Amino acid sequence: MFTSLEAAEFVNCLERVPPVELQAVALLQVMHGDRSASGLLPIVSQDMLTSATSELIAYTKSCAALVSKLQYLTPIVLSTVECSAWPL
Amino acid sequence: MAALAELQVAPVLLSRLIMGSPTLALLQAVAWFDPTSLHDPTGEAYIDFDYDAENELTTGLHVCRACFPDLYAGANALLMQGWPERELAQFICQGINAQLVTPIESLEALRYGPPLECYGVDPTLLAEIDDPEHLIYRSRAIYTLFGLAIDSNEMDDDWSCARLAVDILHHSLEQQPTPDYHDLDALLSWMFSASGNSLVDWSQEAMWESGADYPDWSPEDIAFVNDMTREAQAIMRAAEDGLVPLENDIALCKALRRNIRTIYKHIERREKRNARTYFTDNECGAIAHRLTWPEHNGECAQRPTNAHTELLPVRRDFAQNA
Repeated sequence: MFTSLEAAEFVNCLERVPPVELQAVALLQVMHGDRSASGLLPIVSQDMLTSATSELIAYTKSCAALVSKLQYLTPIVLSTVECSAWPL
Repeated sequence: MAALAELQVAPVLLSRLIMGSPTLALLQAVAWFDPTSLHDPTGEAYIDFDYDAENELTTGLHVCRACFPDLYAGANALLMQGWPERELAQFICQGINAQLVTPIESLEALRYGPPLECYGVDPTLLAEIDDPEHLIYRSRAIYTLFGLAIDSNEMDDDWSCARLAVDILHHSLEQQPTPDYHDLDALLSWMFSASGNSLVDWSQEAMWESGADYPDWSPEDIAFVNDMTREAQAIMRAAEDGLVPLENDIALCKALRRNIRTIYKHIERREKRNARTYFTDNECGAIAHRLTWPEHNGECAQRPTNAHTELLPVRRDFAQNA
């Protein structure tokens, strides 16, 4: 059962979350791996380009929505959890 | 030489650094694939985008990002290749127009939302149309069948009465089996702003001055505007087709006049009793049941050779380009 959380543990926990796999990042990896690409994106189909862009836009929106939710998160009193790092 | 060698290796090192960090890789992905969002880290500007404050290209990219992801991806790729702004704007404009029933003239028009092409009749301007080929001009004789003096500015009461008659005629015409009568129904509904389609019922000026909420650049609103425009254009095509039998078939014209008189008698009787001057749906149906029409096989309906788009009373340039 979850009983306590230190700040360092929380950071470790977040750091263990694997980076989201985005098509746009994968395309950039291809570009960086190809030295002959001269800094331009590899030639890909319009469908792939659209898919990567749409996925990135959706990811950006979901991140913005998450930030917005966190900003207005209602505090919850956890009387049974020991949380010494945050005395509040 | 050593410095030059280091400089040549720098991009490789930078590349390794960027792709070695998920955060930096994500930032670069955003810069390449979604640069518009870099100007709006909170997403608030996306919701309250100020169309008047931004330049055409930024507005175009904003609209593409919201509604046309394939176009947005293509425009960003061209942006990265260094395309001139003017050609890029043209690319976006053409791409957006491919998705619209009523096209925009330029990216500047984006600030007004998806274009609304209105075909409605402004009763106060009926007398000003002097083009014999114009649908309004050709329809003027029908207004007189309803007792309307089109060169008068004071025909509010007469217009209300005629509008009521059109509602009753609609009940009758929609029951007729011949398509010509459905076209006649479309013609009357356009002439008296009774179609239920705002683009057919409102003139462009009436639309601007209505204070109605205009559609926004969103996939849902674009689909709505496209559907509404297609329906309006179909009604207008039917309206033009509906005029042809009236211009050629005396029996049909006489029947319309007779039926209008019949309806007006009912309205007068109602007025004499100082009763309400409107009819319920059932009452409209009952009066409509007494109206008669000649059998019509559509043979006299010689379609005019001019394109349907010629009838459009406003913004004709759009119609001709469509």
